[in-house]
Amino acid sequence: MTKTVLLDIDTPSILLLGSAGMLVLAVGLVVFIVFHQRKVTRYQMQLQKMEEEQQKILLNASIRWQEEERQRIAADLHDDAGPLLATARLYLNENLIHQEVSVQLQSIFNAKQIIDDTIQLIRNISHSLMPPTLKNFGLESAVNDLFQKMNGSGAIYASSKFHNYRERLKPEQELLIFRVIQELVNNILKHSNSSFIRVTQNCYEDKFIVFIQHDGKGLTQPEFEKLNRSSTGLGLKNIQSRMRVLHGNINFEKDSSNTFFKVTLEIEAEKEFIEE
Amino acid sequence: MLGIQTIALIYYFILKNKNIKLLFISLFLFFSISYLIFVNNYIQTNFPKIAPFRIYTIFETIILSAFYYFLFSKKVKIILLIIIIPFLAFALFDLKSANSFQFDSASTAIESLIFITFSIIYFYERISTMEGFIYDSPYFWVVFGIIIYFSANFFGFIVARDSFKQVLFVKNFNLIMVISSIIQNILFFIAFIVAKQQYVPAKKTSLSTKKPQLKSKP
Repeated sequence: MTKTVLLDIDTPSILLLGSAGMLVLAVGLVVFIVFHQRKVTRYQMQLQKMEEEQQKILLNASIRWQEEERQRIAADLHDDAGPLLATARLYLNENLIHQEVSVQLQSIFNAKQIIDDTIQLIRNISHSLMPPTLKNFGLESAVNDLFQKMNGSGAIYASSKFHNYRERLKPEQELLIFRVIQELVNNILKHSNSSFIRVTQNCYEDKFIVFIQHDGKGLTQPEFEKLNRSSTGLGLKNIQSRMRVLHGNINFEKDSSNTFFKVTLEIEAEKEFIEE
Repeated sequence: MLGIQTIALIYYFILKNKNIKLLFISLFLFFSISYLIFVNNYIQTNFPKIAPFRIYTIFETIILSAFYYFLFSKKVKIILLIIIIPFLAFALFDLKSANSFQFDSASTAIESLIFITFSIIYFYERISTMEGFIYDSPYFWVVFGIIIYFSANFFGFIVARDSFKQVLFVKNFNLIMVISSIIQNILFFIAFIVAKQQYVPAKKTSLSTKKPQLKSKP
């Protein structure tokens, strides 16, 4: 009897309390979901914005680099090739036919010499745009050639070892990888004060991997990313944009022994990229 | 409720998107049945008649299942069918076998649990896919309304079978039902407004024959 009375009294209030509790739980759940989703979506939007900004910086760096390269070529042609050709023209003017034969021969010889120098100069400019060793013999020879020239100075010892380079990559891929290596080596020479540079190439699961090690002052990945985001560091931004074109990754790290700095280039070497 | 029915019907004819059309026809049917039961229960007598509630549970399940079916990915659709078909069989069996003037606590409680669970699954799917803000979709507001309605009435549904003869219980049960229905209807109204805002009419040009499109997918 007491039990029945208790049930009669309690059920409606339990119902109210239970329903209110469930309602609060449901509203709480939805509010939590909305706020969580807002937070995540905003974070993603922020990331996307940062990515866009980074791409903009890289694009600007790439344009600046192109402009600088054009200016350099224009300066080389204007300051070096221009005066040389003007001098050759002077030697070969109309008055030459009124001169003595010996003077004529001397003038022709001098003009020929100047034209040879101009040809050499233009060849050098052309080689700086596309190294002939790279074009004809591939990346390994081009890197060896670069290191041979560096070793000649005696200030640094540079060596390379290509373990898995039986098939050449596409020419544009090779040029981009070579430019990245060149820029990294250039940075090492300028900033690291190291005594050696070692380049090692390998292939792992369809990936073309290049390690560059040196014993000087180097960069770590967070430092590289920080420099990449800043307005300075044009060379590093060029490296980053070239790696993007290659669909590859670059990783800067300190060797586990803490004595070397290591840069790893990881590039997708899919079958269509490899020359048959 | 009649107002909401009319709005749902107008939206059904205005909007061209197939999924949105389905949403509004579902809402129209839902409110129509709700309205009929309301008239039957509250205008004709002071105490609710239980029998129409039992049929309503089955109708409600079918309509809401259809709504959720078009909302989910293929995998969840299969799960939904696996759960709903046996449940409908059970509800029909319950309708035939049990006393028709007794509240179908088992069916309604299970139905509440099913739709609360599928509402949570919907929210989870939306969080996982991350296509813009969740509240930009009209479906979010409809699901929000559904989860509010079933959560608020879940306890009532469980104890209604044994307590429907208590006057105080019926009073409280009706109070909860009315409050949750009002909140649900407000949320459905928000769904209408959001759907209307997302409706982008195509520009009329001599070359363009494009139909109006929604800004984002659900």
